[in-house]
Order: sequence, then structure tokens, then C-alpha cells
Amino acid sequence: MDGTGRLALLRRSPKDHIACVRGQPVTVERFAHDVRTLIPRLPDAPYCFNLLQDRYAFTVAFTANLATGRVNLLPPNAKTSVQERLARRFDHVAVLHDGTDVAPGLDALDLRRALTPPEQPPDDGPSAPASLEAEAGAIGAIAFTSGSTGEARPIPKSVRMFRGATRAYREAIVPDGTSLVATVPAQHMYGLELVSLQPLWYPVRFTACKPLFPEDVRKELERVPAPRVLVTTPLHLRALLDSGLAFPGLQRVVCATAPLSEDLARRAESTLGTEVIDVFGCSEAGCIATRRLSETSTWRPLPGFTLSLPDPGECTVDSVHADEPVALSDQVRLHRDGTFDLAGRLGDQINVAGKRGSLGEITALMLEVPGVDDAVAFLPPSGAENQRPAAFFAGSANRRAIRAHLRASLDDVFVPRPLLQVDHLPRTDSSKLPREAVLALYRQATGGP
Amino acid sequence: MSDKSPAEQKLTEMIVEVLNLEDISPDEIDPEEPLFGDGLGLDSIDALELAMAISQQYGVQLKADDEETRAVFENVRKLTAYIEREARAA
Repeated sequence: MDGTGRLALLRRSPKDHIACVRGQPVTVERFAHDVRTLIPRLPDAPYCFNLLQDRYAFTVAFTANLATGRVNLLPPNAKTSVQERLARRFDHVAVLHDGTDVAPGLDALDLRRALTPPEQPPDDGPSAPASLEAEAGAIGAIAFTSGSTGEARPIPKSVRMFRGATRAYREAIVPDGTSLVATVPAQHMYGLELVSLQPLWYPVRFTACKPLFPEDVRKELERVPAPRVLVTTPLHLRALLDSGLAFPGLQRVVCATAPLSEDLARRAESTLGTEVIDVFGCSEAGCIATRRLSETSTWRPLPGFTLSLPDPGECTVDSVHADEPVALSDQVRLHRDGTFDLAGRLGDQINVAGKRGSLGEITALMLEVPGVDDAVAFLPPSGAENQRPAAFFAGSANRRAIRAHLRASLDDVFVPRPLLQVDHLPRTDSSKLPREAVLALYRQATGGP
Repeated sequence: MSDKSPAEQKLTEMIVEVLNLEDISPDEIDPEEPLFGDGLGLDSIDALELAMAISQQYGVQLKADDEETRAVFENVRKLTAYIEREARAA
């Protein structure tokens, strides 16, 4: 695939089912019709926050944006303060949503009004011409990730990268002919590529809802046709197993955002009677490698992906469809045959429930609060799947004020817990803050190990 | 702050324990204070952890049509009432 020319955004047989909305199948034909009717209604803006919670509406809007050369902006969360902050960095931004609060001053389109639900007869209003395609090299979406300076870093993805990624995921992650039920948000790169985009080019169906509780997952699995694939995270998977509920037969469980533990993987395979595929990836490169923990703990790159170590301690991943190699924020032990093991994350970057954050950013935001004289966010050592950051602060500020300030900008999972007030932080004479001293203070404060 | 019933007190203690809210004592939590957002600031990970603990301790499976967790989880009072209703129905 070269970087030029136009790519078809939908390459499926018209009568095939592309989605399942509230238990009702939706054909490729109907999906294409919905995209075409949405196109003339889109706000007149080159950048659109795609904040849709319903995955069907999200995917229709995402495709309509691609087909019209608009860029989908995928913020780390839908908070209005985040919308405001990011919108300032682009020329003209509109918001596509289905009930989310919209930051003041932004054009918005509520798709609950602009899009006829697929259970109802199709809208016969004005629609765009037949072909749904996009420039291969055009930026189709920009995701954002936390940076240590407190400013979110944009991650642009071209249409060509999305197309190449779905080709690599076929079979290795998502087998043809399956129904995909996902507990992950559509805006997260993992949910976006595997669940919303895979069905544009390969014969799989996705469901519109994002079930959270085990009982919701069970009900959603029951109303889609077999063979079923559950796309989920270690956290959701543990909740399913602990619920004791009986789940319908699954062809596969795909798990990503944080490495699975071997124990959880084995329990899942025996309880659910299926294979559990663990996926390693990042927003920049998408899914990179897979493993089945009941067989091996070593990761195997997907077809077309290559890892290399240009410098000691630095690992990059390159793929046939990426524009340039991507540096990983994980420590990697690379084997001769191209497979690899992971050995922890580097420095400032943290990952909580698949959301990537920066300890430096949390610290910087705490220091903005009046009455906070000194502060540090850190990751306590733990074996938990979703270890949250903890923090110390010195000063007269109250904890509620600090939490409120952090929540205005950060995803809730990055608000430190516990948030502990101390007289002063254990700084050295050169005012450095050694991690060991912080952890010793933490053990002392929590009585933990 | 309004007084908690014994059932609400028990649930509040479980929330603090299950979610490792080491810096918050159960007595600080008002039964009508929002658990999510600007109140206690819980998030969807907490919702899932709580749902697991509730299913283990009360035998109640929480349901939400989609991610409408905020309605069920609005505050300790509503959550307690919901659990009691579901436990009786079971």
C-alpha cells in the first residue's frame, strides 16, 4: 500500500451484517446509507470531537468524517474543560455527541436527532453521493495522550494506518465471521481499531453498546449471533469471573490495555471455555503483539510489525503501514526471532485501566492549587491490575480542593488515591526527591509493606 | 450531613474498604453526597470494583442498560435502597 491515492472506506458485501444495535442486525447497506445521510448535516468544521457513546453512532460519524476529509478528535475524556483546552489548539472545532455536555462556544451536533436509529426505516433526506472513500495519507483521527508538561500530546493517525492495522488484526486478533462485544470505549485506540474499524473492511459485526457490569455483558453476549468475541480488559475480565454468572459460548476473549496475569488468564480459559488472547499495544502504533498466556508469556508481533532497539533502553516499533517508527514507553527484552518480553514501564508514564497518564502532569497540576507548597505523585509498588497513582502534598490546601482541581483536567482514574498531607516532602539537600524516600514515607504513612 | 441508617453505614464502610479510600473515613461520607463526579469522585473502575463486592456480599448483580451507572450509584442512600430492593426480589 502506498501513501497516495484513495481508499474505499467500506469494502463489504451490502447485505452482510456490520453491526448489532440493541439486538437488531444492521446491514452494510443501511450503515452506508446512514453515513451518507449524516454527511450533509455535519457541522461546517474541519475538526470534530467524536464523543459519541453509542458505538454505532460513533462509527457512522467517524466514517462520515473520514469521507469528507474531516479529522476525528478523540480526547482522553469528554470533560468540557478538556474540550475547551484542546479546541484552542485547532482552527475550527465542532462537537458530535449523543448527550454529553458541550463546552460553551463550540458548534455541536446531537446525533440522537441527526441520525435515525437503525431499528427505524432509513431517513430519505438529502444524502451524499455514492462513493465513500478517503485520501490514504489524510489524517483521519487525532488521539491525545498525557505529557509530563501537562499539555496533552496529539497522536495523528492516517487513513492508511487504520487500513493497514485492520489487515494485521484479521485472524491474529479478530477472526472473520464473528460478533464483537466490547467493554472498552469507542474513543480508545484499542476499541476504535478492533471494534469500530475492523468491520469496515472485514466480515465481522460489532455491537453498539458498551456493557460494564457482568450481568450487562452476559445479556449483550446473548443477543448477538455466535461465534462471539469479547473485547475487554483485565479489570472487566476479573469482574466477569468473580460474578459467578454463566456466559454464552465464546470463540475468543481478546484482552488489552494492561498485561494479564497468568492466573487470571488460566481462570478465564477454564471458566469461559475459550482461548484468551492478550494484546500489547499503544495509541501511536495500535495493537502490536499478542500472546496466549496459557502457552507462553512471550509476545509475538503481529504480521508486518517489527521491534528494534536503536539504543540501549530504548525500543521502537515499526510496521509496514506506519509513517515512521514509534518509541515505546515500555522496557523490552527483544529475542532473536523477533518475539519479546516486557519488563515494566519507563519513568514518568503510567497506565491505569488502559488510560495512559503522566506522573509529572499530576504533580504539576497539584502545584497549581493555592495552598499547595510542594507535591509529588508516584506509583506505589503493587501487583494490582489497576494500581492508581498516590500522592503527597505539603501545605495548607484541603484535599477536596486539590481533588476538584485535578478532576477538572485529568481523567478520574489519575486523581491520586490516597492523597496524603505531610509536613514536608523527603527532599535531599539538592532538593531532589528520591523515589526510595517517597516510597519509605508511603510505607510509614499507610502501614503497608 | 444527614444520619445514616445501619444498612447505609455498613455499605459506606464497605465502599471505603473495597476502594482503598485510606484518606477518607466512613463518617466523612454523607449518604446523599454524589459518589461520582464532584462528590467522592469515584470512576468507572470503582463502579466495577463495587459491583463485584456487592455481588459477593449481598448476592445482587448490578445492571445498567448501558453505562447508566450514575443513576444506580448516585449516592449511598440510593444504592442501599437498590440493593435492598433487589435482594428482596431475589
